[in-house]
Amino acid sequence: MSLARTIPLAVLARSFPPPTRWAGRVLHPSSLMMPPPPLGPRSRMATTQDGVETWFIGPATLVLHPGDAANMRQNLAMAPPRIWVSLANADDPARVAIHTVTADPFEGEAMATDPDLTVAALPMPPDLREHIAAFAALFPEEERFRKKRRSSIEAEDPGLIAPRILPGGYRPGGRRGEGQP
Amino acid sequence: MPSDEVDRNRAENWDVLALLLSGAPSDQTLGLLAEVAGDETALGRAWRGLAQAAGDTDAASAAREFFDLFIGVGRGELLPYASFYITGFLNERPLAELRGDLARLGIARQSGDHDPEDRIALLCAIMAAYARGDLGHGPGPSQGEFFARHLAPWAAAFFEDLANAPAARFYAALARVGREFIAIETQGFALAAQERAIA
Repeated sequence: MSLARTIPLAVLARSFPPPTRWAGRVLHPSSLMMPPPPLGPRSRMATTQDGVETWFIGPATLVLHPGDAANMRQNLAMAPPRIWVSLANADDPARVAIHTVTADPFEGEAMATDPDLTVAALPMPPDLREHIAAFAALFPEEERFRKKRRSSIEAEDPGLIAPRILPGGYRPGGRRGEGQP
Repeated sequence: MPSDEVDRNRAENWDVLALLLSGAPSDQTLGLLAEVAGDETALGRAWRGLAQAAGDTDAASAAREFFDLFIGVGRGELLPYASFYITGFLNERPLAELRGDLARLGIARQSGDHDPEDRIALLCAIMAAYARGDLGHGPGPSQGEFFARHLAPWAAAFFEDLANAPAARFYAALARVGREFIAIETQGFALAAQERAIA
């Protein structure tokens, strides 16, 4: 059974008028909503007079993994705590998609190196902060990562390797010895 | 003895090993094997032993023996795969290396064949093709390289095991032929390598 918790969210993004005629509009994650608005994904919500568009990108699921609890505590210690949101195809409102939503700062910052993603660290809504703090408090001990590997003793133990010749009489059924001296 | 004849004899030896290790022999095959005569060399004596064993068995008991040795319930008494003999596990790196060499030789797996390629029967069949001159002209390893890489590390140990397997009767006689023949081939390829080194 997984101990992970999921929280439904909605992601909003803004795009600004391009500064030159050669640049296009790029959507940047701007805020989170709970609960999601009654709109289909990728719908424009508003356009200001100076051309700033606000889009509803779609619903997302924030997954809290027990293994990330220590990282979440580091996140909560920041002022303010943040949620990292990354968008794929952020330059095209028709194809834009939510790539990841995470409360783990390390996972969030790691996405910043991907040139295909547009990443933003958004302030964590206060309700979410309490929820994540409660979750992180459930796993105070950091789980140690243990790589499973065959120990040298196991590798050298001939009993753990299949025998080259199966000994006689090993097989169930007792067919061995029929018609043999 | 002219080289052609030596190679023809080598091809026949490899072919017999490939044939008998890839499946149980029919009554007709056993009948032909029983007529083989051998001289007083070690290989000749082993062949006489095989002819004797072929005369003493029939297709049904040879099939039973083949099943006990190589198929079995769960597994056979032996696992005739290069990877198992070299590493202790099936489907390890030796199989991957063999697949690379087979690809360079232009040998592809038949659809529906699910037995790993590093089985002894297939390796013997490839050596037979080399000896007949069907292989080794294009890219890919020469027969000496192929033998050194895929058979020399384990074939002798396999035939030793086959000679000692509890179910082996007819196949123990085949194992003695295999053992003598592998010893001759090993020496032959070592001599050829020495000659190349001198020349």
